[in-house]
Amino acid sequence: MPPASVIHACTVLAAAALLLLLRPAGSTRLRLVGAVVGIGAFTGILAQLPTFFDGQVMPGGTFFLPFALISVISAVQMITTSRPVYAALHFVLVVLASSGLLVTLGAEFLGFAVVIVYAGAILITYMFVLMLAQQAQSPDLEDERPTYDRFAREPIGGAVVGFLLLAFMNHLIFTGTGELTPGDADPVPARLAAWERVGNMPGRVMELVVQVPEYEQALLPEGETLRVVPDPDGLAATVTVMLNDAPSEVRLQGELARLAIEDNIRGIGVALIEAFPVSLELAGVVLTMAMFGAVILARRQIELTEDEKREASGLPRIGHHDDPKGGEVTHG
Amino acid sequence: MAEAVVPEVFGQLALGHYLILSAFLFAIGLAGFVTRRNMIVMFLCTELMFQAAVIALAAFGRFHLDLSGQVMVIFVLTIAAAEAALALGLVVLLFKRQPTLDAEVWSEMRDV
Repeated sequence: MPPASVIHACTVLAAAALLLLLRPAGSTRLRLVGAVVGIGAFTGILAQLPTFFDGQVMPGGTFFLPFALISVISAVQMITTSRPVYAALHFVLVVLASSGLLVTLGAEFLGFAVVIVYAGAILITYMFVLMLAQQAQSPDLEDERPTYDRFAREPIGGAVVGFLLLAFMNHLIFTGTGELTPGDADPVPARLAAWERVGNMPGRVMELVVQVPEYEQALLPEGETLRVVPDPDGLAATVTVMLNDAPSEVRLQGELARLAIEDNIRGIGVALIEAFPVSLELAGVVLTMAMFGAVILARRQIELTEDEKREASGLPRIGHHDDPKGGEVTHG
Repeated sequence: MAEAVVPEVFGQLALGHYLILSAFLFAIGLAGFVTRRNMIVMFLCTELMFQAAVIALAAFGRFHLDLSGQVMVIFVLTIAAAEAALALGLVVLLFKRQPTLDAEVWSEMRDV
């Protein structure tokens, strides 16, 4: 059986499993069957990958499968549970599992940022609105919950649309990724480029220089230009600093060199400012406009008469015929 | 020792493993967006699709050994935050008009 048909068979199985899990579901046994079939289909597709290509080995190893299973199972739970609050909590599980994957991918900063922004900020906002709208009704009995939470809208159509898209994406992934060229695995040019970038950050270099025992009193040279000369293999570098009013050379090597050039947060910051400065500004504008939009959408409409507006701004009221205090009548 | 427990096919990961996971999450999010009728859960499903994009971007960034992928994730987070603020504002607005979260209530707005 060719692997391509195995993949598409697994996709169909996964769609069927999601259909079994979507409400209105039958018995618990049916849901269990759906869960087992779904997990089997997911791992089946993953197991087909090595037969197609062996490109660059990605990090993760042992951690990938648990995190992947946690996130997929929680995602399915999220769209099948009949309690919106549980759906939000399952989404938190998805975020936590995928932040674990981000950490194994070497994106430590993003791993934490995703937890803080998604699980911390966005999900709390969702919870607020949920509680505002649900008015503390969370009946324990399935039948007492609102029907729009208990019954899925067109489960067959949803599963078909979602998994048709998945089939296309699977096809692209299995045929396309083998032709991608991975990044240059030779670390020396990357290290040398990193040293050059570090050389433009004198404060950062000095932070590391003063960690060398004899150089705690070292100062920046005149003019605050720092000469950083990396070794040919990029594993260490020589920095010229001022010590006791005399130029002196200090070696950054081992852990200090690694700290200087392999810092995830500083790397992202430099890439953000160097390569995408306009996008950064645009992101700020988008956030500001979203804030204005949310405020305008959520504010309460207050109907004011013309007199009330004039009174609020300190102007005299416009008199009417039936107004007892209407002295000065101004028209126009 | 831990490696011995994991089957051989999962011992060495390729880019495709992360992409398949991302595609699954995206498909589940799309299916959820179509099938759920609770407006807040529908918007949660869009967040799930954002999360799938985050995983794909980070995996591509690692594959090409380029930090641009991670920078893109920061922009995705920005858009997700903006979208959440506006979407929840809209939900509050709609909830004031009709005190229910059912999206079908608003189906009279459609054509035909």
